[in-house]
Amino acid sequence: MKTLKIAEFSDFPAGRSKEKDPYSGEQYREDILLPAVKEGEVMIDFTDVYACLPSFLEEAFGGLVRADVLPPKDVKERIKFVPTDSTKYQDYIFAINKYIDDAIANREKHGAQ
Amino acid sequence: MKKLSPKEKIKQNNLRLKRRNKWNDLRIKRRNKKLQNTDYSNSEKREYNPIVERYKYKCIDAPVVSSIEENTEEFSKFNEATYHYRLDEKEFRKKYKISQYDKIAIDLTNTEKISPAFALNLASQLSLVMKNSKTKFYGSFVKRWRRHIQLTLRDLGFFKLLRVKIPRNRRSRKTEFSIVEFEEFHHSRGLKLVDKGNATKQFLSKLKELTDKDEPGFVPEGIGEAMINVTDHAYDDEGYFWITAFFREDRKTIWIILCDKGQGIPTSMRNSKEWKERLPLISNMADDNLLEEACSAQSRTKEPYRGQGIQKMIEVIKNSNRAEDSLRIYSGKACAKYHNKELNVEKLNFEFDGTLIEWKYKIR
Repeated sequence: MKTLKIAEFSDFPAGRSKEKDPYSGEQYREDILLPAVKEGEVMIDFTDVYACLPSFLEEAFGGLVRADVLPPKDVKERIKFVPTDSTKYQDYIFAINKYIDDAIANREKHGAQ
Repeated sequence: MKKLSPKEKIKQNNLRLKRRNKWNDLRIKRRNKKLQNTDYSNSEKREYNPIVERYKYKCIDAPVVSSIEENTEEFSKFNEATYHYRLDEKEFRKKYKISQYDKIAIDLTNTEKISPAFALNLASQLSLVMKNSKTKFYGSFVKRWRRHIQLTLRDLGFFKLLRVKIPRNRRSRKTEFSIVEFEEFHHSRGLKLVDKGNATKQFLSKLKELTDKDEPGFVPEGIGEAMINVTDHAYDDEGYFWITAFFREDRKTIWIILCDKGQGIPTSMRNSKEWKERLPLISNMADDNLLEEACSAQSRTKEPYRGQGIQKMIEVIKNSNRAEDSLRIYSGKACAKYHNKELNVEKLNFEFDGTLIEWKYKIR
């Protein structure tokens, strides 16, 4: 299982599109997350992260479902999180799970894009 | 005439300065007394005209009370004049019947009171005028402005942003506010992508110097999302935005103001493919209805993952669970106010060019 430290990408990643933001969700998903998830399970580690914007998390993780490279259930099963006591990081984990679930629900409702 | 030695010259100059400062102080005291007794709600007050002739210039004259919220009517006339001047000087001269030989200036001689949001908006206008026409903002009129206005603007970083030398003021002023000076960001696709995470962190570290406390988690999210909103929607390719903050120690309150001079939220929604799909009749909708849609919860939309910007700022205020926190957004012909867990959107009788977000919250 591969561990991905978000802080190695940026300690304050923000934004969606790589055209508009240097540390965007799209950049993270394409360069780091998707290749790792294709190989197998990944552990997401938020240690040393100052803050993560919701738009970054949604584009990176929700975008994994929309990318349609893997079955949605596989996406959900392959993403794990390093346990943490920090309420801030727990909020991020909660948000990511929600974004993945919403993306799956949306995909089922409107079909693959 | 007897020649004075350097020491005697210095002594003489100091005496002159003392006398001048004494008279200035008396003048300010008398003016403040008069201001306290002035009732601006009086219907017999003079009608405000944004263009006046002063110092052999045609001046775009700022109102006596320069505040977007307290004096919306006069602000609208002043903002319209500066907007037209910024956009196209020839058209501006035509509209306000100013000859091509007349020199134009923006002047605050009459201003008695100025709000930071007004000052940031004005600084953004002037900054763009200087960039577009490659002119300098001359500080020669600044000497004639009220001293407390000069000091307020100096503390806000107004002159520093516009690179204006102001008269040196040896006396420091005690103020109820601690301020993070105006900061300008230039965003451009490809070459100059603003690292919003880093910008937010630096801004917050300056804010921490004022408050001596770490900001709660929702603050970086709110500021970061607001900046992303600007770069994603306000401009197509390139643009500027400005941010400032100030802290009032006695009330433990922080104000954060962010301003851009882009297309505005309602226009960006009308130009957005996603919004057109969500709201087929969007081109017929008024600005206030669109701003309300932008601020509303995501659950009504087909694509719940979209629309993080302003909705996130409102969400962070909701999640903070504090009724005294508030958010005000001016964009297009609408103003949205979020306070006491209620969202109210009003129509404005003027068009605000760009977007101005004013966020107020209490620290514990």
